[in-house]
Order: sequence, then structure tokens, then C-alpha cells
Amino acid sequence: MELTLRVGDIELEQTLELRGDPRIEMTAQDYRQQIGALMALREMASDLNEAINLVESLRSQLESIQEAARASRPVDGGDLSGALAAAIDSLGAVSATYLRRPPPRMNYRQRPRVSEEIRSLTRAIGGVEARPTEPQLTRVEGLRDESREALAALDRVLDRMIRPLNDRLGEYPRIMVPARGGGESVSGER
Amino acid sequence: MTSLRVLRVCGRALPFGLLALLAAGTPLAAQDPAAVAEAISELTWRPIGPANMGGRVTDIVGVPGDPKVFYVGGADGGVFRTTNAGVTFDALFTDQAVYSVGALALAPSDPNVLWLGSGEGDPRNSVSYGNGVYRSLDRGGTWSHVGLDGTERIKRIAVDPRNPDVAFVCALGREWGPNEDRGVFRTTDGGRAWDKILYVDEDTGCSDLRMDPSNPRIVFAAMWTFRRRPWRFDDGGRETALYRSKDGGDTWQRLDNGLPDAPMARIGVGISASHPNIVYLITETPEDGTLFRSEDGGESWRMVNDDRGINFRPFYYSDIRVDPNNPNVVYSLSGGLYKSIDGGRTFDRIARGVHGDHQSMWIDPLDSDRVLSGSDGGFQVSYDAAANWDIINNVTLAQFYQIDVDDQDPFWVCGGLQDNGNWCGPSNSLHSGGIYKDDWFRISGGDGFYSQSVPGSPHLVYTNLQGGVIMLTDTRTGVTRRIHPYPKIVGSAGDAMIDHRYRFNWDAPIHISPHDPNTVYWGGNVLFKSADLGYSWEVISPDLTTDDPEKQRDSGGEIYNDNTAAEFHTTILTIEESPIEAGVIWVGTDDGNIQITRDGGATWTNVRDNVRGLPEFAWIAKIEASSHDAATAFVAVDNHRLDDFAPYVFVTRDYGRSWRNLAEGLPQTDYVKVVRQDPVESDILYVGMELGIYASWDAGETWVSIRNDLPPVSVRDIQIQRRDNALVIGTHGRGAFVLDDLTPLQQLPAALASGAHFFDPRRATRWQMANRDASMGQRSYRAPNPPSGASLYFHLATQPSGPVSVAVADASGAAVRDIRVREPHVGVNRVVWDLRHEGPTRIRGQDGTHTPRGGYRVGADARASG
Repeated sequence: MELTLRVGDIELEQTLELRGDPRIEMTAQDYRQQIGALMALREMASDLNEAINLVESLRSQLESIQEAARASRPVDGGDLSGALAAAIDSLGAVSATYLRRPPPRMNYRQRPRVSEEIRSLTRAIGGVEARPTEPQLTRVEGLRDESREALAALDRVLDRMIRPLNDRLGEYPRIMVPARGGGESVSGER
Repeated sequence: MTSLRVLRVCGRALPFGLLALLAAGTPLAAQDPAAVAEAISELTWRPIGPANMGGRVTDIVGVPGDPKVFYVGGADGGVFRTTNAGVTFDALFTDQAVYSVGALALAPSDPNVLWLGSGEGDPRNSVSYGNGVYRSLDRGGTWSHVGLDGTERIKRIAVDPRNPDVAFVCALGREWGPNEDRGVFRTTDGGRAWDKILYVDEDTGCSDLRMDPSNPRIVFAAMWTFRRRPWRFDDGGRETALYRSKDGGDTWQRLDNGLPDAPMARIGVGISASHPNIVYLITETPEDGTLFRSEDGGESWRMVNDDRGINFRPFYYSDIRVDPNNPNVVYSLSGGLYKSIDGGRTFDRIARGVHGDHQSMWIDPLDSDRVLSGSDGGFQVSYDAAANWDIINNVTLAQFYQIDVDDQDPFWVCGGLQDNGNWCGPSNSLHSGGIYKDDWFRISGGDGFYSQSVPGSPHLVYTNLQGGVIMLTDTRTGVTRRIHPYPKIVGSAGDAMIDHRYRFNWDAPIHISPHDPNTVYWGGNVLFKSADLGYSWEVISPDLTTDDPEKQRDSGGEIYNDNTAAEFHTTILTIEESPIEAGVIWVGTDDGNIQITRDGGATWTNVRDNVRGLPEFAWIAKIEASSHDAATAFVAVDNHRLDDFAPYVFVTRDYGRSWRNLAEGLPQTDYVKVVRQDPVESDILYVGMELGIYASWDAGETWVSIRNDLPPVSVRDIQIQRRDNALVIGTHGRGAFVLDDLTPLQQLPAALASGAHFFDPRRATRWQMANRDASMGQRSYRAPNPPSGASLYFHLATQPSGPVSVAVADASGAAVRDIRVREPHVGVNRVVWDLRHEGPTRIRGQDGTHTPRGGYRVGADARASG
């Protein structure tokens, strides 16, 4: 491994010899399989965590508008509050249905969602000095599908409920809808 | 902003070009030692145990009626305090000038006030020393040194039950020589001023002191004549006597009505708190009894027991306790623990499940069933008047004489302990909870000393116990063969050495040849060699000692003999074969000889007289044959047994023809136990002293303490595990410690010459850590494993103004991890990379990285391909 120490503008380099546990037989292919699976899981975890962050951001924005709307005259014929509430509920539903266990997050008193599944499989594969099992590798692919499904559900809420709301907000601040994976948009345009 | 272009080299930045290059050649000797010490001050010692057997406890005191709080005084281990009945302990007294505890006393009128007498008061052959009295006003949290510096060792302190500032100190004085700072001292102002209120002579100190709790004007003091020499000790005599004061110490009366008109050995005294007129005296006399009792406050005495067995080694025990609520219940602290319920007429041996050699006891005056005990085997608590005991072994007070490392991976540490045998334990247990008590295992018994495993066969371990009992253990099966070259009863043989065919030291040396793991050397008065695992031996030297018959006679004095081997003399102490040149063997003896053979033992030369400044008959504690040059050797000389506490370290670079003294830069009032040369950098030396450890980067010209977070404990042995470049020390009081990576010390000169320096990292291993036990709470001992992952060290010459980070990339250059260094500081820093990739994007508002444990590990080079 190559190491670079950065102290202000100074960069110092070293090489680190890293070896596997000498008690354990693991081939280079074993390590590649393990790290490959873990990297795939990491990407899924990142996508889901970003989605969770997005949900929380949106709910916070929506709740702020909802609060402000209650304190002032109604706009948009008076049904904005209802739309805001529906959007908040939908986001919560997506998160609770797909993304992660909803509060109070009490482990085995709630079924695991895809985030918990990814975390569990990551621990199972990465916590040992061994190549992943075939079922584990298969499960990685299965989780990839489940992640896509969860993110698609979120996208549907964004497209059908959140972005259209911006057209109805009148004097209220527009909802910032960061695009998952970077960038953000203010308008209803994707 | 334009980046400053810097010259980039592997591990070292030279931002100032040629100037820095010149600076890099500056010897570290030219550096300010304080700056060097500051640079390495954050390097920490990792304790690894063991705690199984405790270690010698010299005093133990509790708070009446409060079972949650008590204090433990280590012979060489400072003070430990529990506030939860022994579930956990706080290490106290870790930052003072000395570390040996002789006496503890809580002020009865104020339990916040804790008095400490430094220097063990049971003057065996292996004790450390103290420098007077300390006092804490906050239950041991902070301490003040309050005087009596010259007393060296203090057995007892009694505090006036009415006033925490009034205390009496029972000072034994110097063990190895005469001095006037001994006897009984009194302060009435919390230690600001002292009066010596009872003094006999410069050879007679105080061995015990008791105050009548109902009338603190009445004080009993036992005065004891004792002298230890390397080849004998003398216990007692006609000046050994019990004294009493009735006026708070102003005047004293020697008590003799009913006591033997004969020389007495060390005296212990006990007073009944419930019936203060009942007083006990324990000693040994030639013919006139062991235990004496007075029922009139010491006016008259009668012998009640003449069994010498209840005070097996008077010089080491002679300690009696009276149940504070029953004057007829008496405990004698001895090799075993003995209890009488009939006023001392008969005793039963109790506490058989507890390590013997009892040195301390405290009985709760409000609950006599609650008894605290300390011995050579740690400390114990009884809740049923000493019938049953709970051994509390969750702190390390272990006292190593010698230490060694093997070549397992991870390596194991083996060593011998005072009265607790020889043990091995892992430097890394490979289970996630750390190094547990039960990761250590015993190889053999006795007082343990050398424990050397055979290179390439780490299951074969040579060990020895006192006085020349050498064994070879197969740790896979536990088979332990005694392989003495001349099988006669040796060890604690009971007879003097003068008529023995061979003589062996208490701490006789074993040395495996660095050139042949099948060859082992064993030191008596001659040097033995075996090439077949001890099945046969060859004598390869003449008697290498002075062979002075006057130093081979019975020990003990005029009252009794005591030939445990602790005083066996004119023997070999250290053996070292040059790792560079086979057949070059060095031997040092306890009577001052330094012998060398260059032909595998055919001829020997005593080079003692070539060593200018070497005291006559000095204890040649350790010889270190250089691993860089066959002609070079280092000698550590410990002359404290001749009452000389100065340090001595010498080096020869011509096979002993000439020598240089290297000790001038060391503290001049503390003695040296061991010297080792760094296997990578020949100019780096390490010295273990009675009160710490020092390093030199200029071959001994200057020295810097590398104690850092280590208490001022006796560093008896030092070893370097070369594969892992780890420094291991065996302390005589706090077990073993590891400095996991010597690279920062080895490359310190280059680091100090640079603005920033990135030390060569040690190879990292993806150890599979296991979880092998149930939840253990806090009562169980556990020591830390080395940090999991790669420990990366760097040095900063100045405080950085911006962030400091370490980026990790794989061999293709792909980023793996970027580690921000928290709180970088001037000097050597350590950052640990856990061998994991960057985790996933975090969830906002959650603590931590949200990276599951075990996740995203970096691949390693496979051990087997395909």
C-alpha cells in the first residue's frame, strides 16, 4: 500500500507491506472476491444513505413550509397543507418500507429493510478472513435489485409529489431537491 | 494559492534543502535531551500482564465499616485503590520519585488522609527502595513528599486516632549498609517537621510499631538489627528488642520482664484494640520461644508458643495481628497464614487456597469477619474471618526477574516472577477483548527466572527456579523435565553452598546459543553446555568466580539458618554468546568477574581488572554481546548490594581489553539492572534501572528517559523481538510492557533533522480476531492488544497550522482511505489505519462513520497464490 502523509504543503510517502493472517489460507483471488463484494455493498450503502439523507432533508423542508403555511393565509385554494402532509407521509412511507427500519429502530422487533440487509451482509463478508460464499455473492446481487427498487420508489415520490409541489408554493421557499448522486435542482424540472 | 514545492523523499521531507541535509548528519547527542524526551513523550507502553498471580503486596488497608473502599500497596507496584469492593482499581502513586510501598495508613479521624511510607520493609534479597514519607489529603489522588528521605524503607506508620497530622513512622533504614536515618520518627504537623524519637544504632531499625487506639500516648516499637550482604543476611541480636512509650513517644522503655534474655530475631508486635492491655510479640529465639503475650500492657510477658513454624522466616515475616474485637484471636503472617483462637497457645494453618508468604493484613474493626490480606501472591478478601478467600487478581503487580520473547507470530512473552514461577503470555491474544488473565499460563513453579524458548520450537521452554533448578518444559503437554547437570537437592536446599560440588545463584542464567538452537548454556560457578536438550552436559569452564569460601557459608545470623538460595554467592549471573562470532562467550559473576572465551570455552580470560571504575566484587548483572560487532559488549553492573546505588554501564570494543564508562549521563543515585543494544542502530542503547528506563542515541554519551506513561517501576530486563522490532520490558512490580514499534526511536535522529518525518511503517497484518468468551464485566483483568491495523508514526518539528492527514492508496494508485489526524502535535505522532477502505456516504446526524465493523477491508497479499 502506498501512504502519503500530508502536512500543509509537505507530502511524504511511504510504502506499507500488508499481509493476510498467516494462519489462514486465502488466495489473491479470494481477496479480490471479498473486496469486490464489499465495494459493491459500499456503493449500495452509499446510494441508500444518500437517499436517506435526501428523505430527511425533504421532510425537514416540507415541515418548515407546513409550519409557515399554518401561520399565514392559505394559498393554492387552501389544499397546499394537505399536499404537504401527503408528501411527508409518502417520504416516510418510502423510507420505512424500503430504506431502513423506522424509529424507534428496535432491531428484531422490526423487519429489516435494505440498509440493514446491506449492513448485515457487509459484516458477514468483511468481518472474517475468508472469501465470500456463493450464497453471499448471490445475495449481493439480490440486494442490488432491492436497492434499485427502493430508490425507484423514492424517485416516484420525488417525481409525482415533491417536484410538482414547487409549482404551488407561491411565496414560500422552493423545495430543494438534490439529485441523488450529486447536484441539486430547485425547480420541478429534473 | 500556489503549492509550495518541496523535495519529496521516502519518509523524510527536506524543505530547507542543503541545510536540512547537513542537519541530518548532526548526532543526536548534540540535541537537547529535553527536546528528545519531548519528541517521544507520546509514545506509550502497552501493558500485557500477567495479573493471574498478583505480585507481592506489602500493605493493605481498608475503611472501617465500608467494604467498598480499600487500598493496596505493592512491594514495587505503587498503590491501587478500589471504591467498588474490588471490581475495579485505580492506579495511584504513579508519578512520584519512587514506587516501592512499605506502609500505608489511613488517618482514623479522616479517611481522606492517607500516609505512605516508601520502601519495602521486608528486606528480602530483591527489594526496591524508597525515599521517605508521602501524604495524600484526597484519598491518594495527589501526594506530597513530606520527608525522611534517607530512611530507604518503612515498615509501619501509625496515625493518631484524634489527629490526622500526628503520625509515627517505623523506619527500618538501609538494608545493605548502616545509616542513622532509622528508628521511630514522629510528626505533629502533617510531616513538615520530624523528630527522631527512638534510635538504637546505625544497624538497628524499626520493624514494627503499634499504637494503643484507646490511648495514643502508648506506643510499642520493635527495634531490629538487620544487615544484608550479597552472600548472607544477619537477623537480630541483642539490640533487637521491644520498646514502649507512655507519653506519646517522648520517652521509651525497653521491655524485658518475661522476655528472653537472649538474642531475638525480627520482632512483630500486635495490640488488642478491644483489650489494649493484651499485647503480643512474635520473634524467634535460639531456645526461648516464638510468641509472647502480655496482659498488663507490656509490663510483663510470658511465652505462649514456641513453634517456629508459625513464623517460618522471621526476617521476612514476624508479623502478628489481633482481632480488634477478640483479644484471643490472633493471626500470624508467615509462609502460611496461621490463626489462633486461644490467645496464641495453638495455631491452625488457614488460607490454604491462597498464595503464601503473607506480608500484610487488615481486619475491619467494625466487622472482624472482613479481612484483607496481602502476600507474595497478590491480595485477597475474606468475609468469614479468614475461613474462605476471594483472590482479587485484576491488577498487575507481577514482579519479573527476567523476560524473553519467542518467535511465534504474534510473538509470546515469557518470564520468571518473584515466588510465582515462570509464565508465558501473548503479545497479541488475537481475540477482540484483549489479553485476558487466562491467556497467560504457567510453565513451572518456584521463584521464576529465565524462560527461554527454543528458536524454531517455541513449545520447548527452558526455565529455572531459585538456586540452580533448571527445567525444560514442552508446553504442548506440560511435561517438565528437570535437567540439572548434577542432580542433588539444590534450589532452596537448606544448606550452605560451601560443600556443594557446584554453586548456582538465586537467579542463575540460561542462555541459548544464537548460532545453534540446540545448544544451551547454564551458569553455576562453572559454565555448562548441553547440545541435546539437557540430557547431557559438558563443563566448559573452570570456576569463573572468586570462589571465596567466606561467601559460601550459612545465611541467617546467630539465631537461625536460612539457606533459600537468595544468598548463594560466588556464582555466575549472566551469559552471552556473541551473535556475530560463535564461540565468543561472555560471563559475568555476582562477585565482580567478567570472563570471556573466544574459543568456545577452551580458554578463559578474566577482564575485570581492565574495567576502570568497576567496583570490586560488584554484581555483574547483565552482559550484552553486540549484534553489530563481535568485539563489542556492554556490561550493566548493579552494586547496590554493597550499599552503592550508583549506576555502572561499561562498553568494550576490543573483546574486553579496554572499557569505557557509559553511565555518566544517567541519574547518579539509581542503579542499573540491564543494558541492551538496538539491533538496527548500533548507537542506540537501552538501560533498565531500578526506577525506570533510559535510551541513548549516541552509544551511551547521553541518556534520555523513555518512561513516558510507565510508572517509576523497576525495569529488570529488556528484550527486543527482532522480527516485529518491538521492545519488551519485564518490570519488577507491574508485569510486562511492550513498546510495539521501535522505528520511531531508531529513526529519531533523521526525524529531528527534518521539518516532518514519516517513519518506515512496520508490516501490517490482517489478523483475524476472535471473540472467545462471554461478557466479563469490569472485574476481570484484560490488557490491550496492539491496535488492530497499521500503526503509522510521523514526527512534526513544529505545530502544523492546517490539517494533517494520511492518504492510503493501493498499488495501482487508487485511493483507499484518507485519514485525518486528530490533534497532531509536535514530536512523534501515531495514527492507526484500521486496514479498511473509506466507508459509504454517511447518514447525516449519525455518530461515527456508519461503516459496519468488519466492512470494506483492504485485500492483502495472499500467502498462497492460485
